[in-house]
Amino acid sequence: MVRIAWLIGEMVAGVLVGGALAGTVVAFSVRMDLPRGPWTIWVILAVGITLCVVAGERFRKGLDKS
Amino acid sequence: MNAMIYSGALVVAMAWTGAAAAAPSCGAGPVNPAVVNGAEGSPGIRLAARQSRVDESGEVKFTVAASTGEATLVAEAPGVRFEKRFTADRVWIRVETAADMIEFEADTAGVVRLARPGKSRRFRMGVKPEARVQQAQDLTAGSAALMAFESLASVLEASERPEAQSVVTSYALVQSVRGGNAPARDLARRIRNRAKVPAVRVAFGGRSGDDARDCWSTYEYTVTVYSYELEACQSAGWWNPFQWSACNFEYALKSELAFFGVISCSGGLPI
Repeated sequence: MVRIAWLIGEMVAGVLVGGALAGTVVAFSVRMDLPRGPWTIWVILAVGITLCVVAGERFRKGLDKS
Repeated sequence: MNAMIYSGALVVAMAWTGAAAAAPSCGAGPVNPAVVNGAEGSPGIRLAARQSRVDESGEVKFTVAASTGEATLVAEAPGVRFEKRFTADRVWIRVETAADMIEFEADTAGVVRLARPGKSRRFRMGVKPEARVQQAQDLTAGSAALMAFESLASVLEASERPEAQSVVTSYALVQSVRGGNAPARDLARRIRNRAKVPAVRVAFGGRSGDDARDCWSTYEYTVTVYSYELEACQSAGWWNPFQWSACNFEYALKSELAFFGVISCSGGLPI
């Protein structure tokens, strides 16, 4: 149950991180005229969630050990 | 790339609405077929025809005049007067309120002039777009005439009158120089929709009327504007670290809201 709560928290944090990342990356790519499209959003969202889940799990395991 | 697409759409839209406004015989207004010397037109221009009528809401009065080689459109609403003249290769726009005025001139060579009382700037489209957008925004910042123009365009958006479409097109044109692509995009979408055969929507992809590409375009434009605002905010308070963090916070918050907008707009699923 606690693990599921952690996972949900990590995913919510991932969406927030994805939003901040997307704002920066998309604005930069528009100004530099780099390739982009609707797929950019989903790639960044996936990266944000993955990063937060990996970091959150490591943190949770670290807490469990101590 | 998107800017090029929008500019292309804008040129098409200009040609369409410009031609429509320049043809005084379409519509139901009183047409004076007599050739008159234009008291309201440019001195010396012989007006071939002139007509006046109001929009559907009765708030805006249009006067269209055409002569060989030049057409003039005047739209008057309480507190604001819009005037546009166009020839085959040039468009000249003036918006006046009691206290302010903006003037805009563009030609097919891509040279644009934007002026306010006491200030004037000339740009070449496609050259240093970031600098052009910044300078155009600085020049028009706080302009009562531009705000009145925006209100006028929003009143006329839904109108079917060709004169109204011509005013909305001019608004999109002026905004495109200031870095605002949304009015041109919305105009192009409305024109596309008007040309479409009525169809029944068989699949629903989120908010009514939006597809993934529309949502994306809106998001892309929004965050780019935010990034310019962030730069302006930071440069205004470069000496103040607290202001920097406040600017960053504001940018992050607005970007988050835009992000939630785009993922809910396209149904929350990769399309």
